[in-house]
Amino acid sequence: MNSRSIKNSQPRSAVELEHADKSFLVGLAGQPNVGKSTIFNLLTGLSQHVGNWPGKTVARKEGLYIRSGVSMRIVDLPGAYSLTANSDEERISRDFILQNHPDVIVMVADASALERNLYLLAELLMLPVPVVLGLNMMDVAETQGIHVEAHVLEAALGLPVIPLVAIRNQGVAELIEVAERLARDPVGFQPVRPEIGAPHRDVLTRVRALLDGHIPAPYPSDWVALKLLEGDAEITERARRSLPHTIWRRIETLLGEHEDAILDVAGGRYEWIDRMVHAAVRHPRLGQISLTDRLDRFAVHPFWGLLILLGVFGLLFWLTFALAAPVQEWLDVAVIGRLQMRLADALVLAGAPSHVVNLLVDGVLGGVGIVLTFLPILTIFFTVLAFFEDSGYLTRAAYMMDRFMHLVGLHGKSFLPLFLGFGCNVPAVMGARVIESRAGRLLTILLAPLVPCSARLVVLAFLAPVFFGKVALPVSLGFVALNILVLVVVGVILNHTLFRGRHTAFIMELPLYHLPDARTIGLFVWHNIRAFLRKAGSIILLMSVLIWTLSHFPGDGIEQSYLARFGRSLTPLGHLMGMDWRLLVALLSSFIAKENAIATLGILYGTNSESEGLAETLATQISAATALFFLAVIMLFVPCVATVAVMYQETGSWRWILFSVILLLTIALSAGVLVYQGAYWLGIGILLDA
Amino acid sequence: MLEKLLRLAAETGTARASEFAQALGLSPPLIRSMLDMLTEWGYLKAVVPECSTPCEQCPLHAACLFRSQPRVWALTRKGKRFLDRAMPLERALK
Repeated sequence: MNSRSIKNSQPRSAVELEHADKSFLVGLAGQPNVGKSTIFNLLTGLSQHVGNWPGKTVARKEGLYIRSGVSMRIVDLPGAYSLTANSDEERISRDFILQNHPDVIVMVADASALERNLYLLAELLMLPVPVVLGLNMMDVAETQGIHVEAHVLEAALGLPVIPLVAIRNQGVAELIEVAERLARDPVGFQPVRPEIGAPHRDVLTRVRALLDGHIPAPYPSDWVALKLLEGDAEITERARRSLPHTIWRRIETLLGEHEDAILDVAGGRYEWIDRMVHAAVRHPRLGQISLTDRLDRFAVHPFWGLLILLGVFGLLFWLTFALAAPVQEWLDVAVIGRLQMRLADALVLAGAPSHVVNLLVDGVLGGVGIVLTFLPILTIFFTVLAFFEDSGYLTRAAYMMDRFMHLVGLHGKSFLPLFLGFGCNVPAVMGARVIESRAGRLLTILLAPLVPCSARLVVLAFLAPVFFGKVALPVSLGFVALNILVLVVVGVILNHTLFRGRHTAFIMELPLYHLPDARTIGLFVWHNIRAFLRKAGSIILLMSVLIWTLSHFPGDGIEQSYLARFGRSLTPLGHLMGMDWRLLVALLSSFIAKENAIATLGILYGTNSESEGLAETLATQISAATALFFLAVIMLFVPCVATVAVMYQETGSWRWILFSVILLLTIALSAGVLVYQGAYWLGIGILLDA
Repeated sequence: MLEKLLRLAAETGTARASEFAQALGLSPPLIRSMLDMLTEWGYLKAVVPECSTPCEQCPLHAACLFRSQPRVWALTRKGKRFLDRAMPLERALK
C-alpha cells in the first residue's frame, strides 16, 4: 500500500486558487460508516464549508484540495446504500451526480464488507461519471482474515482501485492523484458494468426504445429505463409528466406486465458483485466465522442439534442440583429453621401474643423464608441460561425448536415468544404480538403457559431431589419433556381444529458464537433475582400471611381451620391422586405465584425440629407417587395470576381465558392422575416410601 | 439470483442465511445484503424487528433471553404472489 501521506491542514488562500490552472469537481460517495469523513477531512483540512443541501436538513460539506496547481472542489455526499431514491441521502447523491456533473466520483468502500458496498458502485456505474474506488479499512479486513486483492479487483471492475487505511492516512494521496488523472482524461473510462438479468433484457430494450428522444437533460435514457423497471417512484412520476401521453401509456402497460422486473435488475447487480468478490476476495478459512460454521454443523443438525439441546437442558438441571440444591438445603435447615426458633424465643421473651409469634415464625418465615432459600437455585439457573444466551447458543436452540414445531405443523412464528416463556410466561404472552394473524397470536398465547417458566422450574428443582434423590435429574428432565410434549400435542390439535394455521417459513441470521461476558451475565442474573425478591416481598408475603391466617383460625389446630375445611371439600378429587387437603391447597395457592406452592407447604407442613428442614419433613409425609402427581400438576397447572392478567390484556376476551383455564385444568389433572396411577402401578411409590 | 433466494425461502422451510449461501454458491455477506434489499422492496419482512426500546428501559428485559437476538425474515404476500407467478425451484436453480 502507498505510504505517502496527505498534508493539508491550512485554509486555501484566494491567491492560491487564482493560480490554479485547472479545477475539478469531485464527489465523495460511499455508504455510511466507511471512513468517508476521515478522507474528506484529510483532503480538505480547514478549507471546509458546511451548510445544508437545498431544501433538505441533510448537511452538505464541501472543501478544497489544491495540489501542483490543480484545485479540486470536493463535495462530501451523504452516506447512501444505493441510489434508489428511498431516502433524502440517496436522492441527494444521485441528483448531485446528474445535475452538477462532477468530473469524477471517489467512492469509498469498506474492504471488510465489500459485498454490501459494491451495490452502490453497481448503481454509480450506470451514471455518466468516471469512478475511482477507494478500499478503506484494509487493516480491519486483514484482521478479520478477509484478503482483498486490489489489483485483481481493479482488473475485474475495469476502474482504478486504491487500497486505503484512511485513519492512518495511508493511500489517500494516491487515491486523489488517481482521481485527478481520471478527471483530466475520462475518455478511457470503460468499466465492467452489471447487466440486467436475462428474462427482462428484452423489456429493458423495449422501454429504452420507447424513451429514445423523449428524455430531457440531464437524465441518460439508459438509466431512466432501468429506474422505471425498478419502480423508482420519483423517476416514474417525472417520466409520466414529461413523456408524450401515448408513449407513457405504452411504457406503463409494459411496466405493469413486468412489475417484478426489479428482481432481475438487482439480481444482475448481485451476480456482478458475486463475480467481483469471487475474483478478488479471499474469505477466512479459520477464525471466528468458520468456528461458528463448524459449531453449527452440530448445533443445528436435525439429530445432533436435538441431542445438544437436551444436553444443555440436562446441564442446566445438573448444575442446579449439584451446586445449588445443597446450599438451598443448608439455608432451609441451618438458616431459616434456626431463625424460626430464635425468633420464636425472642418474641416469647418479649411478651408478644402467641398469634403474632405464630404469624411471624410460621407464616412469614415459614412461607416467605422458605421461598427465599430458592435464591441459590435461581442464581445458578439464570447464570447458566445467561451463559448460553450470551454465547449465542440460545438462538440456535430457538432455531431447533422452530424446526421441530414446523415438523408438527405448528405456527413457526410462535417459537420466539414461546422460548421467552422459559424465563417467565408473562413476556411469552406479550411477545405473541410479533404474530400478525389473530389466530396465530391466540394459539401462541394459549400455548405459552405450557412452557415451564423459571418459577415452576425452581419448585421442580426444590422438590425433585427430596423425593427422587439420585434420579432427581432424569425425573426433572422428564417433567420438562412432558411439558413440551403436551405443548406440541395441544398445539397440533388446536392448530388443526380451531385455528388452522398456515405454515410460515423463516430465514434466520444467527449471531456468531462468542465468549460470554461476565458483566452481561451478572446483570441478567441480578435483574431476575431482583424481580424475584420483589415478588417474595409482596405477593408471596401477602399470600403467606393469608394462608397462615386461614390455617390458624378459628383455632383448635390446623385440622379444624377454615383452610382445612375448604381443602377437605376437595377430598374426593384428592383421593383419586393420593393427595391430602394440604397439597391441594398448596396447588391452588400456586395460582397467585408458582413459588407459593412451596411457601404454602412450608406453612402447612411446618418443620418439627431444628435439625429438620421442610425437605425432610415433606419426604417423611408424602409418598413418591403423590409427589410425582403434585409435580406433574404444578408443571401443567393454570398459569399464575400475572400471566392470566396479561393473557386477558392481549386477547381482550374472558372467553379465551376461561377456555385456557379449563383446558389447562383438564390437562394438568388428567396428566397428574395418569402419572400417579402409573407410578403406583409400577410400584414407585411403595419402593421409595419403604 | 434474487428469485432463487425467494424460491428457496419458500420451499425449504425455516433455514439459516448461511444455508442459502451454500445452496446458491454465494458468500453469506452477499446473502445478507440481498435479504436486506428484498426486505426494502417488500418481498420479505423482518419478523423480529430490532428492539426500539433500550434494554435498560424495557419492561421485559429481566426475563428476556434474546439480547443477541437472531435476525429473522419471512415472505410477504408480495413475495408469495411473485413466486406463484414465477417458475418452480428446479428450473430457477438451473
